[in-house]
Amino acid sequence: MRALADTLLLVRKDLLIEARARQGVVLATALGVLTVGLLAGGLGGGGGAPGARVGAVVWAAYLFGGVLIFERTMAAERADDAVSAVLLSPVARGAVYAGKLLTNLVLLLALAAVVTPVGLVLMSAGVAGVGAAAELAWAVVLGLVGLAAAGTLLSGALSAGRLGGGALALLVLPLCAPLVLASTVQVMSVMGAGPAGGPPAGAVVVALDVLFIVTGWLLYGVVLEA
Amino acid sequence: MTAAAAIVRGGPAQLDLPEVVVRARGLGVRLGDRRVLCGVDLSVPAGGITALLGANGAGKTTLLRALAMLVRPSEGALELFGAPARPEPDIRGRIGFIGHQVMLYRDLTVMENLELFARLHGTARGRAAALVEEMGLAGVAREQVGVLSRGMAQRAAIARAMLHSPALLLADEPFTGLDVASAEWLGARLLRVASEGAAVVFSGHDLGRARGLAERAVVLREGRVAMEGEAGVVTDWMAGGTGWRDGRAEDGTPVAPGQAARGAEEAA
Repeated sequence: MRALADTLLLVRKDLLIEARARQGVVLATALGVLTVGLLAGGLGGGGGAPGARVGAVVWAAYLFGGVLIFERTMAAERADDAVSAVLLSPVARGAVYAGKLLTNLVLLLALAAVVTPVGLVLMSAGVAGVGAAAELAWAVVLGLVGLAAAGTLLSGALSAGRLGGGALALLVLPLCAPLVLASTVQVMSVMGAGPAGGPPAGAVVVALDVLFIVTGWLLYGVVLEA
Repeated sequence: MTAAAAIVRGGPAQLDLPEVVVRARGLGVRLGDRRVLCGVDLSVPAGGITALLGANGAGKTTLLRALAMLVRPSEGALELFGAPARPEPDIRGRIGFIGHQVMLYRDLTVMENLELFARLHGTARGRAAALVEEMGLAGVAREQVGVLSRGMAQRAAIARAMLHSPALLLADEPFTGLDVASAEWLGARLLRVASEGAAVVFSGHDLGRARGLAERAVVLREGRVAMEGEAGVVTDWMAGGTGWRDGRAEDGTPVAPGQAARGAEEAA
C-alpha cells in the first residue's frame, strides 16, 4: 500500500509539473501531428488499403513524440538534482519507476488521443463502429505501455550522462522495433488489413510489455544511481 | 565498546544511534577515468558536527554524496549507523542531504515541494507547514522554487533536508548564498540538530565557521584525507604557518601542529 501511495504521489507531482511547464506533451503532440501530416501526405497516393498504412504512420508519431516526452519528464528530475532527493527518501525504487512509467504513459495517451484521429482522417481510414474503435484504442494502449516502459528506463539511464536526447532516440527506436512492428500489425488487423498467419500480434505486444516493465522495475534504481 | 552497546539517545527525534554513525575505511570513488577519492578513512560521531574542508575539487562533494549513497564507491568499506551501508529505504530515510543544487522541483511551489517530500518520508502532517514558518519561508511558500532568489531557494533546500529529522545530516557548502542572518540561523540549527543526537557533516571553506560550529574537522586534498582532528587545531593549521594555499602545503609536507591531527604523512 505504501508503494502504491508513493507511486501515485510521484505521478501527481509529475503531472502537476507538466501542467505548469507544458513542455512535454504540447511539443510532443505538435511533433506527432507534423509527423502524421508529412507521412500521410507522402503516402497519400500510395497503393494498398489506408488501414494497412495508418498503423505505421501513427506509430512513427508515437515514437518521435514519445522520445520528446521521455526526455522532458526526466529533465524535470535532473534539473536542480531533485531526483537525488527522491532517491534519498525511503521510497522503493520500484515505486519511483512505476511513477515515472505511469506519467509517461498518461502523456503518451494524451499524444495518441490527438495523433491517432488525425492520422485516421488524413489517411482516410475509417473505423467501422464503436467496437472497432474500442479495439483500436486497446491495441494502441497496449503498444504504448511497452513504449512507456522502455522509454522510462532508457531516459533514466541516459539522463545522468552527456549523451541526452539524441542517444535516447537512437536507443528507443531499435529497442522498441519489435514492439512497434507487432503493434502495427495489431492495428492493421483491427483495421481489417492485417497479414494472414503468424503469431497473434496482440500476444506479442503483451509479452514485450511485460518484458520491458519487469526489466525497468529491476534496473531503474540501478541506472538512476549509476 | 561495540556499536550496539554504545547507543546515543537523541532528543525529540529519539534517535537510536551508535557512537560512530559513519565509518569509512579506504573509501575510493572513480568518476569515469578520474579517481576523485582515494583511501579515505573517516569516522563521524553521533551528536557532533564535523567540518569537511579543502580547496575546490578536493573531493568534498563526492565524499558527501558517497556517504549519502548517491555515488557508488569503487573501493573501500562504508558503514552507516553501525552496519554496512546499503541503499535500503530504512537507511536512506535517516539521511538528510543539502547539496550544491537545491534538490527541489523548480516548477512546484515551496510548499508543494515540502509536502511532497514530507509525505515521501512519512512525516507527520503539518511538518512542512511548521518548517515553512520556522525557516522564514511563509512569504514565498506559494512561489515556485524556480523563481526564488538563491538565498530563499537555499532555505527551502535546508527545510527539505530537515523535514524528517535526519539522524545523519550531510550538507555540502550549505552556507553558500545565505545572508548573514540566515547563515547564523543555519549555524544555530546545525548545532541544535547535533545536540539532539544526530551526526552532522558540513563542507565549506570558511575556517572561522568550521572552528565555531564543528568539534572535528577533516581536510581533503586531491581526494585524500590530508588532515583530521580537532576543528580548532585543524583550522589553525590550515590558516597558519604551514602555508596552506589553494589546498596545498607550501613545502608539500604539511605538519600537524597538534596531537589531535593525523594524516600529515599521507599528504606528504
